[in-house]
Amino acid sequence: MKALLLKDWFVIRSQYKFYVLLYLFIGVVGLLSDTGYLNAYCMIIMSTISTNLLQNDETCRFLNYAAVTPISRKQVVAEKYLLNLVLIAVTCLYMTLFRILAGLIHGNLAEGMAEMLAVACLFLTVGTLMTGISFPLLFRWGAMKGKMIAIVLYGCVAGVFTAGYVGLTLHWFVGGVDINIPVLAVIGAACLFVLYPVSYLLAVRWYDRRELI
Amino acid sequence: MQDAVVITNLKKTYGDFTLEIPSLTLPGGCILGLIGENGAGKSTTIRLLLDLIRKDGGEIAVLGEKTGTAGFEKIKEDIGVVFDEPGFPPSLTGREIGKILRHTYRHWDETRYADLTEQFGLPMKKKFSEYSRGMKMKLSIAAALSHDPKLLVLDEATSGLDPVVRDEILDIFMDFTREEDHSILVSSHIVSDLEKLCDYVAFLHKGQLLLWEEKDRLAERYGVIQCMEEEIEDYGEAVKGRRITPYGAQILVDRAMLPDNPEIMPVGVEDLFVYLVKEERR
Repeated sequence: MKALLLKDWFVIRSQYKFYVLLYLFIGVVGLLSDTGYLNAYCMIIMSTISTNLLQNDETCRFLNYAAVTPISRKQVVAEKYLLNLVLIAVTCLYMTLFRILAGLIHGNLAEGMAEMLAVACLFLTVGTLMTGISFPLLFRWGAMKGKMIAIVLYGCVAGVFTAGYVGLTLHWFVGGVDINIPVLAVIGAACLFVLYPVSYLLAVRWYDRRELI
Repeated sequence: MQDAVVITNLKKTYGDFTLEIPSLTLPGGCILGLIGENGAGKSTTIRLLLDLIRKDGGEIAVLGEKTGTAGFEKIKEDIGVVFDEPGFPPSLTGREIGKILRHTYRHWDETRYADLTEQFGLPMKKKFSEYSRGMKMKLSIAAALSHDPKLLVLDEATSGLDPVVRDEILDIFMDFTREEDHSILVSSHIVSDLEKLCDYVAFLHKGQLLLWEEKDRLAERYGVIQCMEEEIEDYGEAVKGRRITPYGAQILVDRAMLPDNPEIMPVGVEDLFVYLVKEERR
């Protein structure tokens, strides 16, 4: 797996340098405007990296090459899932650091941290949910078909989230914040500890049976 | 010595295409050339023996291990593969690819990789996407040779290369087989390359194995006779292929099936293949 992580690190370093600048820009804007909504952009950007890496592997036929080396198919799947968790953790840490800075600058650290916690739970949910849905499909059907199916499913998930958002008790009061963090934490934990492992096992099973032409 | 590849009653069906190989063996220490036109089933055969796709029937054993078993995963350390499209990420440099493979193979030889890439004149700091076709193949070959493999599997490794580069690469493959336990399975539709390199040849046509023979025995077994078109029937079962021209006919014959000793001209591997394929199409 070390070889695969190293490969993806080299690719990220080469192809995603721009994202570092983007993250910095989002962080600075969030810092100056004392708003956390831009975290959503970090979330979206992060969730596309793992998927794009997998698609690139397929396009350049690295998956075929890896399959004839001592790297097992299970390791190929495991590395992508692990990398995705690392990217979620790094982005969460990054957003938290900037939120702390914003809180210190604007004197609303306590409220900022509460908001950050809620965003982190939401981020964990979306990060694991999006890849939890798309990865098995990509590993099973390849980049083209898998992506199309994933987009349809994302639409359904987004619809559920939008409807659920109305029902979730996220209240913003004038002068204060009341966020139902436990609900978000439970959802995030369910995604991480239930959906994600099930998704991984499914991806391993499907990829093992896939013919690499 | 153990056979490098043993194929028995292999069958694979894709829609209206069926690959069927009753028997094919690559003896240890030898080079087997898999010859066939585009779409004949060469790449399918190679994907089957590398376990990239599932077979519908039969058995394949590579270096003594059957495909699809746990044992087969272990012998991947001993197989070097060169595909016609090397599967390296385009944004990586030659140096980075070497670092990745160092963590992939237990017996990765960094010195050998450096020596080969230097011998090939490859710019190691340049991205793979910026390499020419010849450079990409050379890097792929360097990678395949740098982990002490016992078997090299080459799928159209020389197609698209200029004659000078092809000659250079063929010399490297010849050098590889100086070791007694080193074998090569090479597929190509450039028959002249295989004629220089191979000990054994196997002809594939529309998924069927037309012939599998030791290369030197082909010249002993087959020959070409010049005659008139109406005389072809006189040679009966000995006729294995024909070419009709306005000036007469040239027929490929099996020498062992000729009753007498007519004047027989030698036939090269490429011409032999063309004769057999055209006869199949009749």
